[in-house]
Amino acid sequence: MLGNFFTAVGSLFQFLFQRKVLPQTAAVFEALAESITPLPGNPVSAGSERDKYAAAYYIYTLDHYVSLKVCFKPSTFGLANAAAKMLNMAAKQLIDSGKNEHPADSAFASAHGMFAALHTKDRCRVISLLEHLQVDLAGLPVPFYKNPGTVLAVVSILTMLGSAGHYSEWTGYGATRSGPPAARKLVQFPAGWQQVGYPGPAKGYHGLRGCLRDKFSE
Amino acid sequence: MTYDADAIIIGAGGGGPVAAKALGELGLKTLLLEAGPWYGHKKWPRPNEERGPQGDNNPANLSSELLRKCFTDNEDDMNNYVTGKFRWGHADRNRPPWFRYIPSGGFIWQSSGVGGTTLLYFANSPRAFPGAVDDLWPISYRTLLPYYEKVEATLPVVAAPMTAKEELFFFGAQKAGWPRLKTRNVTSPGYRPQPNAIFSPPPQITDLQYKFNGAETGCTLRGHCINGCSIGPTVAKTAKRSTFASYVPLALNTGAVEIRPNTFVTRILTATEKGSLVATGVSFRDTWTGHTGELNAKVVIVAAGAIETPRLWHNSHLPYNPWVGKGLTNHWFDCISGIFAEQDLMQILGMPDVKPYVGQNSAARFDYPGLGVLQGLGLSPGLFASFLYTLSDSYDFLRRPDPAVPWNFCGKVTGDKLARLMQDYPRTLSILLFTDDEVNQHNGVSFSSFLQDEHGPIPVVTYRPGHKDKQKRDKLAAIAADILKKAGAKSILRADCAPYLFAHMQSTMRMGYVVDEDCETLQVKRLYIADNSVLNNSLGGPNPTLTTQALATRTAEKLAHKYFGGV
Repeated sequence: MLGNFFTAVGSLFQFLFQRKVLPQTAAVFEALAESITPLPGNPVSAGSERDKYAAAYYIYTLDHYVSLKVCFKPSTFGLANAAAKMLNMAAKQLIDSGKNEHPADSAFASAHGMFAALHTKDRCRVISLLEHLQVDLAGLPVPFYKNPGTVLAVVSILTMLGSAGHYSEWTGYGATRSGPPAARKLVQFPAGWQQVGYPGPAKGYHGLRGCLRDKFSE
Repeated sequence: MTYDADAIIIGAGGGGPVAAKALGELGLKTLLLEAGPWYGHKKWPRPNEERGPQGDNNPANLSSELLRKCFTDNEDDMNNYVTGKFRWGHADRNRPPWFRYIPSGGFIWQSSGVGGTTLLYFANSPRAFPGAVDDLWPISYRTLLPYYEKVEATLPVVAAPMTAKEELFFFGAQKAGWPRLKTRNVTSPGYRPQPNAIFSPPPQITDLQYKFNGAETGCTLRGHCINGCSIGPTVAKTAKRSTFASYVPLALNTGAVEIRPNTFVTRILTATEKGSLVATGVSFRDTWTGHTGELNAKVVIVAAGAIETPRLWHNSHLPYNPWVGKGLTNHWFDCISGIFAEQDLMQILGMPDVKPYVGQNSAARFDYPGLGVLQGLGLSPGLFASFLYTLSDSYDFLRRPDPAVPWNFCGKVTGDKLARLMQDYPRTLSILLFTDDEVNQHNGVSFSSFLQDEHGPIPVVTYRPGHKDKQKRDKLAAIAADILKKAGAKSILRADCAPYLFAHMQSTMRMGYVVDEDCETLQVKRLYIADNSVLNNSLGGPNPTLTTQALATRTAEKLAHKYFGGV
C-alpha cells in the first residue's frame, strides 16, 4: 500500500519536473512508428533514420499538447515520457495476461523497454488494450494513473500521429525538423510522398472534366 | 455612457464577419475581436512571429502576396493539431495550443484566426434539409430562405466542377439507381454537384499549355482547400470563399468595421437595467502581451463557436440555463473508400487513376434526408491516410471476419497492409459520411473545476452518439459502399471512425432554449449569438456553415431593427 503511494508520488514528480526525453521514450516511439508505417520492403525498420524522424514527431507533439495555468502562470506539460512509460507498462500487462501472439525479445526489452521488444502486431494490441481500458489503470504513471479520460485522450491520437508524420511533408524537413515551426524548411522530397506517388503541392491542374448541369428547379 | 462601438462581435470565424458586414453596411460602428492571427495582411507580415498593431480597418492593407507566403500548402505546416497555422491556439506557434479536454478521446478541428475554421473548411455550402427545420425549430425553413439566397449570392455559392474523382462518384451513384437532385431544398435522396463557396475554374484552365501562377481568378483544382487557399489576384478574390476573403473585405469596405486579431475575450460584461440583465461590453486579454482591458458597446454578439461561446457564458457567470453548452451534435463522421483497378478506370474515365489530390477536396455530394449526407473526399496524403486508416477505436486485423458486410477492411489499418493500401492512393476514391445525429442533453461542453488556462476553466467535451445515430450511420455506410461497388471498386474500406473527429460542432446554445428566434439570448438582453452553437439541431446532416451565415445575416437585421431603429 505504502509502496504504491510512493510510486505514485514519484511518478507525479517525474511528470511535473522531468523535462529531458528519456532514452526509452525515443525507443518506444520509434517502435510505434515501425508498427504503424513500416518502410516498404523493410519489415524491421526500428532504429532507421525514418523512425528517428517519426519518434521526434511523436515526442514534439506530445510534449507540446497540453498547457495549463499553474500558480498563475501557463505551463506546458510534456506527455511523451509518461506516454512511453504507459505503453511499456501496458505492454508488460499484455505479456502478463498472455495476450501477445509472438514472444517478446527480453534482451531487447531491458535496454529499450517492453513495448519495443514486442512484435509489431502485439504493439497494436497494446494500443487496443488501452483504447478499451482493458489495463490496470492503477499500474500506469501520472497523469494516466487511474485516469481513463487522459488515457483515451492520448491513445486515441497515437495511430493518427504515426500516419500523419509519415505521409505528410514532415520527413522532408531534414535537420530543420527540430527547430521551431517557422524555421522548418523542406530540404528533401518526403519519403511518404514518394511511396504513394504524390508529386507534391502544385499551383493547379488541368483536370477539369466539366460540370453536372446545375439547373435548380425552384 | 460613452461606447467604444455600437456593436462588439466576438470571433471572426464563419459567422462573426457576416454579422459585421451587415452592421457595417447600416453604418453601425462595429468592433470584430478575434483570438488568433490575421493572415494576408500588410500590418501583420509575420503573423505567427510578431504581435503587430492592435487592429485595422483598411481594406487596402489586405495582401494576397503575404497570404501566399503564409499558406505553404504543406499539410503538417498548415494543419498540425499542435503547431499548424490552422490550430486552435495562439498566433505564436512556439506556444502550445489552447487545450480542450476530450475524456472519450479524439481531436477538435477548429482554427483560431481571422476566418476561423473557414480557413481550412471545404467551403461546402448546402442548405439544411427542410424536414430538419420545419416543426422542430422556432422558425420555419421558409423564414430562412431569403437569408440563404442572400448569402449564396454574396459568397457566392456555385455548383462544384468535376474532376476524375467526382465523375467516378456520379458514375457510381447513377449506376446504383439514385436520381440526380436539381434543387437546393432537398427532401428526397439523390446526388448532385457540391454547392460550394469556391469560384468556378477560370477558362484558361482547359488550355493544356497554360502555366498556373497562383494569381488566377477562380479555382485551379489544386486540391488544397483544407491546407489554405491562396489562389487569387487579391485577398477579396481568393478562390475559396473563407470569410477572411469574402465577408471580411466586404465588412472593411463599409468603413464602419475594425478588426482586432490576437484579442481573446474572457468575459461578457453586464448590468441590470429596469430589472433585466443586459450586455454592456467585454473584457479581453491581448494574447501576446497578456494585457487586459474592457470595451463597451450597445450590443454584444458572440460568434466564438460551439465550445467557446458556452465557455464565455460560463466564465462570465451569466444566469443558469440547463441548455447552455448542452445538446452538442457533430455529424458523427465516417469514411468509406474504394480502390479501383487501372484497367477499370481506363474504361470508365479514360485514365488509369483518380488522383485524390486533384480537384476541390469535396466536390460531389449525396443527400439522404432522414439519414444524413455522403460527400466526395480527396486530400493530400498525410490527411488522406489519417481520415481513411486511423480514426477507428479498433484495428482491422483484430476484427473477426464478417462475410455479411460489404467492405473488405474495417477499422484502423497499420503496418505492411497500410503501406500497400497507400500505394493505391492514386486509385482510391473516398466518401465522407455525416450522420444526422440527434440532440442529446448529455452531450456537450462542460468546464473543469480545477484545470484552467490563461482564459479560465478549460472546456471538457463529451459526445456519445446514440443507438439511432449508429443505425443511420451504418445505413449510410452501406449506401456509400454500394455506390463505390457499382462504380467498379475492387475493394472497399470502411474507416469506422469512432466519434473522435470534431469538425461540425454545433447546437450547444440552441435556438428556442438559450436564444430566441432572433438569436438574442433569453436571459441577457442586447446579447446575441451568431455561430454554429445556435443551430437547433444537426440540420439533418448538411454542413452547418451556410445556415450559420444565413442566421447571422438575419440576426444583424433583427438587432439593428430592435436596438438601432433599423438605422
